[in-house]
Amino acid sequence: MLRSLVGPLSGASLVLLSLLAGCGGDEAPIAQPTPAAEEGTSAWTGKPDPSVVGGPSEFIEPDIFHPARQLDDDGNRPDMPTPRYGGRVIVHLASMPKHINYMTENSAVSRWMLREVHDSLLMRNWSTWDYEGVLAKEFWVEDRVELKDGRRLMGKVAESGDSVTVTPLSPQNDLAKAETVSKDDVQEIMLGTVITMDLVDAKWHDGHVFDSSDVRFTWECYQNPHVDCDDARQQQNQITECLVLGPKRVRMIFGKQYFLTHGVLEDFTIVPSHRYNLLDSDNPDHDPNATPEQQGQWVNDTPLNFEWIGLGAYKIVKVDDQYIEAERVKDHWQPERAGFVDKIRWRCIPDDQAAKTAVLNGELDYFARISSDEYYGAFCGSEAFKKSLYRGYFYQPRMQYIAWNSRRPELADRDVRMAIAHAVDWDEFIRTQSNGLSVRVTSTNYYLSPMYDHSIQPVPYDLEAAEELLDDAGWIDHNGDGIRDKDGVELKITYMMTPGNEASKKILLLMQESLGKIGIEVTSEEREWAVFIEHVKNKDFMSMGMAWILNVESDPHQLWHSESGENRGSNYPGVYHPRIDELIELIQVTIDDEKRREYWFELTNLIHDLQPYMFTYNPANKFVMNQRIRGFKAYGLNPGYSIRDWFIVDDSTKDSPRLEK
Amino acid sequence: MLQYVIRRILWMIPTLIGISILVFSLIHLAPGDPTAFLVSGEASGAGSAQDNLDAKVKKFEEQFLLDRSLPVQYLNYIGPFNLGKHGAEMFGGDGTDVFGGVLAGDLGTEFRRPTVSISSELWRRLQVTTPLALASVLFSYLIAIPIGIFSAVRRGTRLEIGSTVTLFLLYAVPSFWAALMLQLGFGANGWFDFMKLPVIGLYDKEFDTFTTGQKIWDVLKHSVLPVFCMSYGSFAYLSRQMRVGMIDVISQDYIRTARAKGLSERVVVLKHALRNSVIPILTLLASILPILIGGSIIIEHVFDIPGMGKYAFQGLVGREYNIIMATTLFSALMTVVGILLSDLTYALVDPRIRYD
Repeated sequence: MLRSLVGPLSGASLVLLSLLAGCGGDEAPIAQPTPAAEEGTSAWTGKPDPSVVGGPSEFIEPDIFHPARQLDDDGNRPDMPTPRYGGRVIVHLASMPKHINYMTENSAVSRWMLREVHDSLLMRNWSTWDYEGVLAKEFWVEDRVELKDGRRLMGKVAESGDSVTVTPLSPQNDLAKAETVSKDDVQEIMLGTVITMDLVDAKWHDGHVFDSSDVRFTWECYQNPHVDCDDARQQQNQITECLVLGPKRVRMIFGKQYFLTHGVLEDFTIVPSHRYNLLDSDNPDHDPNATPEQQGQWVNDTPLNFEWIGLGAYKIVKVDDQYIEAERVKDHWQPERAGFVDKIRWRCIPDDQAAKTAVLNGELDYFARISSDEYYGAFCGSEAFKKSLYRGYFYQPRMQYIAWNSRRPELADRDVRMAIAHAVDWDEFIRTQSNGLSVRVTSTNYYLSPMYDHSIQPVPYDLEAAEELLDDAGWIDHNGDGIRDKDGVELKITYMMTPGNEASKKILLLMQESLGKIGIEVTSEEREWAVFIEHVKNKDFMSMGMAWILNVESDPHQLWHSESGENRGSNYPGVYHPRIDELIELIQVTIDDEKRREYWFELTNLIHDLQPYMFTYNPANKFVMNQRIRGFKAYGLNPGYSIRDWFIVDDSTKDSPRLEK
Repeated sequence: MLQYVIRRILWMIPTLIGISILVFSLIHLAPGDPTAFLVSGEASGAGSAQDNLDAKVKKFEEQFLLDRSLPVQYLNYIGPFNLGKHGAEMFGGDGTDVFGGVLAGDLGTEFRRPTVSISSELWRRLQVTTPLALASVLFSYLIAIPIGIFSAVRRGTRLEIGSTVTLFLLYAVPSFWAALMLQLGFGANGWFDFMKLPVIGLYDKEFDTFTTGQKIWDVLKHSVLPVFCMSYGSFAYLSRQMRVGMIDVISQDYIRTARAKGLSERVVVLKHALRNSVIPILTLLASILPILIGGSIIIEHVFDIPGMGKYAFQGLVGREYNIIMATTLFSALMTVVGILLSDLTYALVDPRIRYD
């Protein structure tokens, strides 16, 4: 799956972040009852363990960081006020999206905005992480059996002995009743590749009725090579057929068995046929002779990509070069999912210093690019801050790492990489640099995902073990200059970083000090972000630090498959391992969660043993928020919060019925 | 004179071509590939996605001719012929869009947002930057001229020395630091918080709801700190120029005559000396303006003002070649025009100067 560098993603993807791009990527822990959590204001009330993995929302309390909700002298926590309706929140954006149509703008910012102004067929429940129908009020997942005689059966497959029984589940299935066929007649069985959906009775923001034609047209857009949706197309092309079974019923058929089919549908950004489809007679720009190229051009360039007409609880009302504003929709088809505030404004301030000034001066209500130094230092401790703001943190699925380029001879030996991992005391770093607000991680799977193997322990800090590994690998300080060498080559590592990033500087100092103790010299190489990413993509680096934004489960092909180690793929360290490739391919086609979990565990164990990354930690996202805003709740899904939970308690709001302003 | 002007204008052409070649070469030779940054940087290959990524890179490079040689890219940028696939047939295009490039009035589009024309974006941003720059120049002169006069008239006094030292201290203060200090001082809970001066942006968050009068007042308030930051550095320079001019004038015979006639010192200085002594610094106006327009990058960045300086910075960071070329060429054009105007102003205000 392709993913954006500047944004996260979908049900099925990974996003890459630079440690230095100022993503607040300096520290991170997940879920520890930490000393950092002041007066009991931890977003997490307990340490996550396998028993809670997969459903963390039960121990996240809303509004926990607000000053008015801190424990009183008797140890009691005041109740959260009753949500009120009205007002406006201004949320910080570090960059403006090209536009909001996630079909052709595959960025995290677009995706997060669409969360408020649009809806998907299926979405993960914020709390349970289970997929549930949103625009699909009901859906049926069936298997597909391709027979040698060319027939196709759809339904729930049950294999027994030499036969296969297919039981129809969905309405309008060609099978009226269960049918059993001999395995000899079966060409192929593909589990979970047919999804039939009944659509909700909803209207687009302009009042037009939403129906199957919108879904069908959207699918055609993904198939149209003239639509600039290459990133999304890679994923959406797995839907090989989109059948309209009725005005409110569609059936999606996937070409192959894939473990993230629901994620694909979550990312399926439906566009209104009556405005995007030039062949649709309802379209004011209707052109009955439009060619696929003209159609593609229209989808790519229409102003509607910014003046978004969606199905969400908020609709875009203003787009400026500095902000985008959305207003709550009257008569939304699903009022219980609408938010409390009347307006959401996303205000773009690229410079973090300027954004901090803005939030201090009331120009922003929410800003989440705070470093630990600022969180625990003068910024959050100032009187101006305490007067109108409060701070908090949450754990966005994210993993920071240092990648070793194993194509370089110094780092080609797994024992050298393991020795380095032994030599760095990350626990101490987390304790001192982020007040414990970080969690050590051992793989690129999300720490709270069911697919994260908690039995893998971080490589312990052990200088003796590190030295032994280096000695055994033949790296010895022959000339007594304090630096190990082998075959005349000294063990010197260059750490690539972007200039001006405090987090990277701290990590560099840590590595210089730690690795210096075992005879490895670390130098830095500062590269401006555009140059940095060019070097990374060309695998022209020795070591570098970055971060991945994760999903509950992502396709590992992108990071670890041999194919991704070539050209501009994301297998930056150069992991070429047949068993890893095999496991990745197994994961991709394994629908059974338990079985897939086994593959995941084997895969992550293998990778951890190879140490292509120095797996570091999942940082906390620290934010500051205006005290007017209440109801902040953290989630384990990106972006880690939902604006629809927030409400304002001041004169601008009232306890009116939900959709009345 | 007319001949001179025409000659100078003609000289601008090779000058600008030279600048454009230099800038074009520099940005292409500098490390940082826009394709890696804007395309493959946004997408990471995965399995069959690799082919997709390659196709995307190819498409991007074709769209902006990045797959062509540097001379072809340069000629395409300069124009007047579009050398792309839709360009003139004689250059291998399909002939649907024959003209293009700077000479055809087309500064191209942004890489990241191909639907955004740089010409229109530049125009929009100039409408923000130019008023601020003009206000800054005006403010600089309003402050520097009286100080220069004072320094000349009260030469050697403690007050004059004090003001000179202060101005040079201001001259030495980096504008980004000054801007941050002003934001702290005038921001929430700052020493000057009571003045309620906005410290960020150019518009209030409620700007849309304001009446016209309120909007004007709002923009004026928001402009105070940025304008000060853009101005204070030139106080010392301009006031010293003014001082030198004034000293030169008040040592002239006609000033001595005026004094001998019994005119008050105030009349001598403000009526007889000022007119002539102000000429040299008025001629500086033309050369300061382009510097202000092009040099507002830091101020616009710190105060989050969507002007041309911020646009240029955005282009540099994002490897947006077309933005970099457009902003640089515009600044270059303003500079050469400014220098010409400056020279012409000299001739206009001083009849002794003749251009042949």
